[in-house]
Amino acid sequence: MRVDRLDETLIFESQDKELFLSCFQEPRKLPEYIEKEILKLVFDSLKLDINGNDDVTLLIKRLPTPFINKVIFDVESMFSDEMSLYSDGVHESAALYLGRHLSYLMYYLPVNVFKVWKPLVDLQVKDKLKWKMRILDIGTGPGSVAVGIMEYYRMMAEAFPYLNFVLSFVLLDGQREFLTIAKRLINSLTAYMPPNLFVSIEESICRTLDSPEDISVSGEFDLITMSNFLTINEMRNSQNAVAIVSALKDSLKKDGSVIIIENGIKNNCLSFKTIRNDLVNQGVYNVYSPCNGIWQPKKEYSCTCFNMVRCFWEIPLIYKFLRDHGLKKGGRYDVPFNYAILRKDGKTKYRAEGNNRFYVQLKDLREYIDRTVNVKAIIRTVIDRGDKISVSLCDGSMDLGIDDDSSAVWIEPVDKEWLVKKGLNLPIVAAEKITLKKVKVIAHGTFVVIPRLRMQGSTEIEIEY
Amino acid sequence: MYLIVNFLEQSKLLAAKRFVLQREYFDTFKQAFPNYKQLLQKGIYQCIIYFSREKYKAAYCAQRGSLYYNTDKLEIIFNDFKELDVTSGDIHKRLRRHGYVKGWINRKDKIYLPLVCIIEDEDDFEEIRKNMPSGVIRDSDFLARLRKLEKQNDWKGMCDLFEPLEKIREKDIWNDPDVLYGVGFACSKMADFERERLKEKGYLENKRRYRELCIEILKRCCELDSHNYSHVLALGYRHYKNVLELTQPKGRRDGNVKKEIELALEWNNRALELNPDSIKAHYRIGRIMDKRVDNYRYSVKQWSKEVFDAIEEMEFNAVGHLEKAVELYEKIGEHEKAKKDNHREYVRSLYSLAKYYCEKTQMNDWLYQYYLLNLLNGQFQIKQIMEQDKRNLNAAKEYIDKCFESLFNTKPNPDIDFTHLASQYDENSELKKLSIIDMLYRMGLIYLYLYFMEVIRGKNSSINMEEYGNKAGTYLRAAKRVANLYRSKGVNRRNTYYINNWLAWYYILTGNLKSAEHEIKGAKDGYVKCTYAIVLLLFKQDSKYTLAEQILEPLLNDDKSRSRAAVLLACIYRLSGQEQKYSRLISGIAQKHNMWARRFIAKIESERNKR
Ligand SMILES: C[S@@+](CC[C@H](N)C(=O)[O-])C[C@H]1O[C@@H](n2cnc3c(N)ncnc32)[C@H](O)[C@@H]1O
Repeated sequence: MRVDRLDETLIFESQDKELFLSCFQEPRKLPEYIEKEILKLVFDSLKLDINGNDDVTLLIKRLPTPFINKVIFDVESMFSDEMSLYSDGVHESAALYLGRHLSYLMYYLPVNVFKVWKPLVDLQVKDKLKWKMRILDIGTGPGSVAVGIMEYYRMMAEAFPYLNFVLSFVLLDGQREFLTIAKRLINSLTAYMPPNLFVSIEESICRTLDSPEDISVSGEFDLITMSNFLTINEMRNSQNAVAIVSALKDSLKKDGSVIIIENGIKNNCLSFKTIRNDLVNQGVYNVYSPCNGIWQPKKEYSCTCFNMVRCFWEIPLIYKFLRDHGLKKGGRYDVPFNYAILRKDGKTKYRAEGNNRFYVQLKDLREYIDRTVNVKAIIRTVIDRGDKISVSLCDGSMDLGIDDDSSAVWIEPVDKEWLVKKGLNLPIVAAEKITLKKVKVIAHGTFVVIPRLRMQGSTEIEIEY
Repeated sequence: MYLIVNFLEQSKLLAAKRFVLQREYFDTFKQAFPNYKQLLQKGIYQCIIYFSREKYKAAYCAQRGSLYYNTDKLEIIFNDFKELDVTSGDIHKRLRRHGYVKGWINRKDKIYLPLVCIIEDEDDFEEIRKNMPSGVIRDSDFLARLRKLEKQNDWKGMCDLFEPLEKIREKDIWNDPDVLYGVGFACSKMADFERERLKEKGYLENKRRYRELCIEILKRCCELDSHNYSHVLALGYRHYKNVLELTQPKGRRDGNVKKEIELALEWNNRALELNPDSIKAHYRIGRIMDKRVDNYRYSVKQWSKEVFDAIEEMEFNAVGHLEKAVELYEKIGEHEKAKKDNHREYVRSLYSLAKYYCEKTQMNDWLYQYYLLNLLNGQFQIKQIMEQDKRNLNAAKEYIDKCFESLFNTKPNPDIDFTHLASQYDENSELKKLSIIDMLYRMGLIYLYLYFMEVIRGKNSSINMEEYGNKAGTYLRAAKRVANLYRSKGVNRRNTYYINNWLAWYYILTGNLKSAEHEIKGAKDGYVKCTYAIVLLLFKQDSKYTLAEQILEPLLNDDKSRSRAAVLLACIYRLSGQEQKYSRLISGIAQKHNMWARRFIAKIESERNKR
């Protein structure tokens, strides 16, 4: 890894490959010190004394039972439909999180930490991250995104001790309680960072964004993040989203990126894609990733297909403990989510390919039934069915609606083990580019013929991250 | 718009801070960027400068500057530079690749990399400027990975995917013929042996390892998919190569030639069963059968008619396969892929056939007989064998001419500038098809024989005589020149006295004894020394007889040339009247010398008795 002398981006060298491969290969693990600092914060807020030398398992056992039960109740009800009826304008999020900040910290922070890694890797593989980043995190909550970015940079700082890294955050949230938690957590975690990574909180802004005018932050940012901020859970936000995100453009450096992360729920996906489409079609931003056109640059987006990306992780100790005490959620080792990286410089992660002579576009597949073809596409979504997986593809040549999942192009379910035997070592994740050579086109469906792809022994697969 | 400028040296840039593109350099630029005016009008955002003579120096980025241009000149003035942490060599490499991809460098239309290049797209420019590895993280299945590495000829990389290969049986891919084939193929390439490196430590062991793995893996492939022509052919190829490696002069000797010959024939024949029109299999079988004949010849203890017949039959079969390969190739349509894929085998089949027919003649003997008997005032009678040899020679001539034409796309003729041709001939890829030296040498030799044929027929026997003589001389001289050229480039260090030898014969035939002598005076090899002795004899001077005697006598102990030397000595003794030495020599002839010598001496004896 080296730093470009002109634009200060981190340049990925081929020998760094291994490090980033590991981001895909192994499930992420929340370091114990994060869990420990979360618990210390909880104890502190509850005004309970602790022994600083206790490890996570010991600490967690000391939590008072009524508190544990409250956390479990909060987690299970927080974003349920019933609770969403609390809507009363500006105060809706206040109502939503009222008295629940600690529960959110314990349960939702861990699950959201690593989602941001995916967009960060997307940026990094095309040398779009800098050694020094100024980041605006909107809807910080307890600081999940900041913690995620810190962890990512910690990994780099440890792998490249000869380079220096600097992160400086501006946090924005409507709720002071969350900001207090976030600041304390981030500060306590800086103690665990290597000496060549300097993290600071430049400013924390307690403000509720209700209209574009509310965004007035000083200076420009390399990165603006919004994680679970535009969701329909956050009520009004999704209505203001296009205006708010558009307004952020002025605070973004010309080579900066906006990262939007949302959960993997269907309704939310629809609203998220609609917002994305509006932003792009109004010419405010371009999509850097995912959803790039394979054969032509995509200038207009009208697709609202339902898909999701997954982040693989090890269930943290706090989760295990809560589950032992009756929590039903939190058993997933693959966390579904959605994301988009928007930029204003027209750059995309995958550039449109010039030569499609040997490939068939997905929209034309039905003309190739029973023939063996080559295909290049972005993995739209992956469905895990235990031993088998199904993969759906998109090359930008067809637009799908939220309920059109079955008319999308799917690869027939394949054994995961077969893929491993073929030499594919990394789990297949959505949003990456896949090249399939010698796949068979099969007719599927009764009334309308929907082409599917079938892998054969001679099929060659390549996934580009 | 972005510019990338090629300065020869860094010091020049720092001194001049100015770059002017004009004359033919500007023409190259215009060729690559015909719409340069429009492009430049859009403004220049950034400019990189690299130094083509100083690959390892850092490239520069020009911060500020100005640009002027008209229809025959482009001038850039730089005010400020920053050193980049990318080398000039890297920039150059990336830029060239980019030019090819975008099509503004194009070898076919002779459009080369201009000194100033315009890059339109910022992403492209950044990729070059930052020397970013493209598509860094990839996860591919074994087949895709093998395919990619194969395209880069990275055989080691292909093998490394499955190391330790000794344990390949335990892996899942042991049941996957497609992947195994890729690995086996790569192992075969890794096993290919270069005799020049024979002495390197561990070289032979390393080659053996891959060789054995290759055979194990490809055999498994054929087991899994016994009807797959490519798999069977690949295994046949390995055994075929083994035969060649074990039989080439100064090659490796760590194997059993006989066994390898049988295996090579077995697998290539199987390939033929699966694909009777396989040019490669026909060619390889032909070559191996030819080797088998050699091998058989060496092993013969008692020569008999049966043995001769057996050899004749084997040769006939070998030739049959080579001729079949030629026939099949010539049936392929002009633009079919097979035409390119089998070209090497075609050219080599033609060459092998030419060589076979050329060597089948006994012209070499006739030359000896002709000159020696002449010296001894004997009668030279060759009428009875002339017809046969003439047919063979004509066949050889046809094959070698065709071979030349197919390799160089032009009919051979003495006016060709062969050294120029050779220096154009891609030394790495094309040379592997056939050595141009071998080719010229063989052409020279065939024409020399033809010429000789005319010479013995008597003066002005045919209009061809002059043509044949001219061709023989030209081709042999060309072979020598090309060999020298390659030696000076370090490409080929082979001893080329065999060419001098035949050039000497050419001079003998044209009566130019001085040149003949000059050609082979310092020779070390026995057979060349024998030719030298003939030259000396032809001078018909006593002092030269003595010199020839001194040269020949030690050769009586040389396994390879002892018979020839004996015959020559017999002539000298006769010519110089050394009867005692002569009798001693011919009394020993039966035990020590071969049939050829015995027959020859018998002829001398009978001539003597006639008188
Ligand atoms: C679901 S939490 C997400 C927290 C964190 N980004 C994560 O992904 O874990 C949403 C956060 O956005 C804040 N928020 C929601 N709407 C807001 C608005 N209009 N203005 C400011 N903050 C808002 C809430 O206070 C809450 O902290």
